[in-house]
Amino acid sequence: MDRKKISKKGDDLEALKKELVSAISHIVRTPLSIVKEGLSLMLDEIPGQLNPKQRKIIRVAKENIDRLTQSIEKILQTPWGDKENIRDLLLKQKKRGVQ
Amino acid sequence: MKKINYKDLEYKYQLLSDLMDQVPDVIYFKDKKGRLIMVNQAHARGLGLKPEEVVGKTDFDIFPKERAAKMAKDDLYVMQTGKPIIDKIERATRADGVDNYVTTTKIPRYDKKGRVIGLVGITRDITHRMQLGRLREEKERVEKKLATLKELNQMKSEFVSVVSHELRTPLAIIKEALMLIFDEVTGPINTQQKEVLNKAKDNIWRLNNIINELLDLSRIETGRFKLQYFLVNLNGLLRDCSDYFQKLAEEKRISLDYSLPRNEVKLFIDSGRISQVFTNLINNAIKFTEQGGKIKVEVKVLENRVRVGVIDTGVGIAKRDLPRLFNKFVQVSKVPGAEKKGVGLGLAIVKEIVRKHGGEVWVESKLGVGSKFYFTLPRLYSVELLNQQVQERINDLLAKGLSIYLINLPIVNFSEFKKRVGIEPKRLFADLNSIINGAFKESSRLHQEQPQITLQDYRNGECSILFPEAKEEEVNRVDSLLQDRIRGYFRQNKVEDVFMVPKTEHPAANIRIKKIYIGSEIRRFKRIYYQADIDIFLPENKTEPGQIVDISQGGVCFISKRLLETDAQVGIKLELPADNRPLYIKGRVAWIKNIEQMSKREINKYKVGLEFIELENKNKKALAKFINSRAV
Repeated sequence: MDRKKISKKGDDLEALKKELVSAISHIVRTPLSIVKEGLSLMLDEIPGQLNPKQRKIIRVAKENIDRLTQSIEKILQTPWGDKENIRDLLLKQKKRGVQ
Repeated sequence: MKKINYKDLEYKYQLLSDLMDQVPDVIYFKDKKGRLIMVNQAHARGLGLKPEEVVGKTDFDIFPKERAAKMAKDDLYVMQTGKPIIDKIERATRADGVDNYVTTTKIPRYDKKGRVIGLVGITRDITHRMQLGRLREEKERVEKKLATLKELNQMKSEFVSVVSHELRTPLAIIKEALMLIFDEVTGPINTQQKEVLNKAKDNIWRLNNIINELLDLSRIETGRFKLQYFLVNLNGLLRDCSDYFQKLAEEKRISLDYSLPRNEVKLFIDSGRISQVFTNLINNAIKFTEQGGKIKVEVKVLENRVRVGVIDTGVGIAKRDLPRLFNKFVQVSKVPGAEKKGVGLGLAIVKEIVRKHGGEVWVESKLGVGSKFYFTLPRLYSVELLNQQVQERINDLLAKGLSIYLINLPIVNFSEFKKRVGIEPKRLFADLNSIINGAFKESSRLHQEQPQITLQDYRNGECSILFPEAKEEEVNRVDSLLQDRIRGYFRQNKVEDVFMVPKTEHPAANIRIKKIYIGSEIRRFKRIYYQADIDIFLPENKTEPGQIVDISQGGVCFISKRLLETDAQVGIKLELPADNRPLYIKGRVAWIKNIEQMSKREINKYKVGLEFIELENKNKKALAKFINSRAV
């Protein structure tokens, strides 16, 4: 089916779709960046010093947050009209080992 | 010179004139100057004239100038070039002012020397055909759009599910890591560090909520939203989370009160999901109530349902926002800071949870005064009658992840029934037990790993059979065997008119209940269908018409066009067929159901459950007489 042609007809649908994606990305991004900020502060030892164990754990958490942010950015930028795209993306991420 | 056969000529003329007069198409002959020299009946009829009255006129005498000029241009083309115009489709305006579509064919006429002397035209009205074609096109367009919508919707669900699943696992890991540091498992931290971690924790929690809501949405949309029932005390469930809300309310200096019934409220519900409903409604109430406000959480046990209300003195909701409040992605609040915290899915999920439980959810609100959110859950008598032992057993099996079938054999009004049947209770139950065992043996259930459990309470006339992991057809077999045999048993003992009412509840969940009522009455109040018009007397001396759906001695259910207020006291005027004078009865609005409107033009209708209060003796008698006369 000629998807482009149809979505041109349903402009309101396109708008709705965009709105949904931007709403989700907005509400997900804000708390994520706050958490990221906090962890960076901790790693920079601004509120206080860390012992090696604490440092390691926070670094792992920070890495996870960074990867998470990246994968969300990717998912949100992927045209989600194409399911295959999202599936491919996920598969790649699983291989990369986002944990 | 050839002899003219006048007879043949007359016959041919007749044929031609029949064609001219009977055909619905407009036919006309024009001379070189565009004058009509002959027209058929259809042509003249369209102008409201007779054919001879049209002859000699030109199009300019008949049609508006613009159109006549167009026609003259076509005429000229045909006569100058000698080429016909065939099947030209045009929009036209009929003489009576109606817009239509016509198709026209114009052919030049020649004299014997081959010179053009005029033309013949045929015009046909094809408005119908065009409309049909238009409709077909429209239909195709709508169908295409629908298909696109459907596809998009599925993509959306997929998208939401992908995003949420993707976020969940890493989020859990981050949460765990932060907790390790925060709980000082890995070493001490100072207050500043704690503060930073706390803020991060809050936001992780927020993300978690958002993701859960999105996941719920995709479950609802793909039909994977299933309930896990447990036998739960509703009061206990509310008390479990009361500390948390109390703290939250105190932080905003809001008073939060609970008004719970003294007795336990035992219900088969998905406790996790109902907690989610509480959390959502109470959180909202706290969010939208200002300092010094009040929130009340109340539980009311009604005739066959339990009603929970969350009532606040908050900012309220505008009237125009109320109808779409339970829709997805709706956030109506203008309270600063409140709009960013969620996705706007909370209430949509609440509605779905309550609906899945078989209840109703509704809201009453006034801007600047406050909001009242209510929901109901169905209540089963037999569950309340089950003793502690059975209840524990049920939850035990459910906790193991086994789905359970429960066949309940409640004997209604047991003390009276006992006297009537004249069989000693112990013997009656021993007999019932052997009937049950016999029925199971025959359905070969006894040889299986999970045998049935029969529990009897012969003091209260309650008998329950639990069987885990049963198959639907197996249960149906046992069920019908039991009914046959119990009926046979009473017949054998010469006990007449014992009725049995089978009823299945909670289909498509991990617990299914089949109830076989034994006795002469199934409910505390016999309820009968009765359709009649009533007057509803509202506060402030207003009267509203309504239609009764059913009635019992305890209350009435009616349809109203006006949205009544929950717990409002109203009066009704009711006429019973046998009585000459109407009854005036007072009642309290117990529950409301918004009947979904089929089209936008229809006015909203509400189904209202009214419980009678202070029923006068004479009314009680009249109602009893009427209901008993109608009951089968």
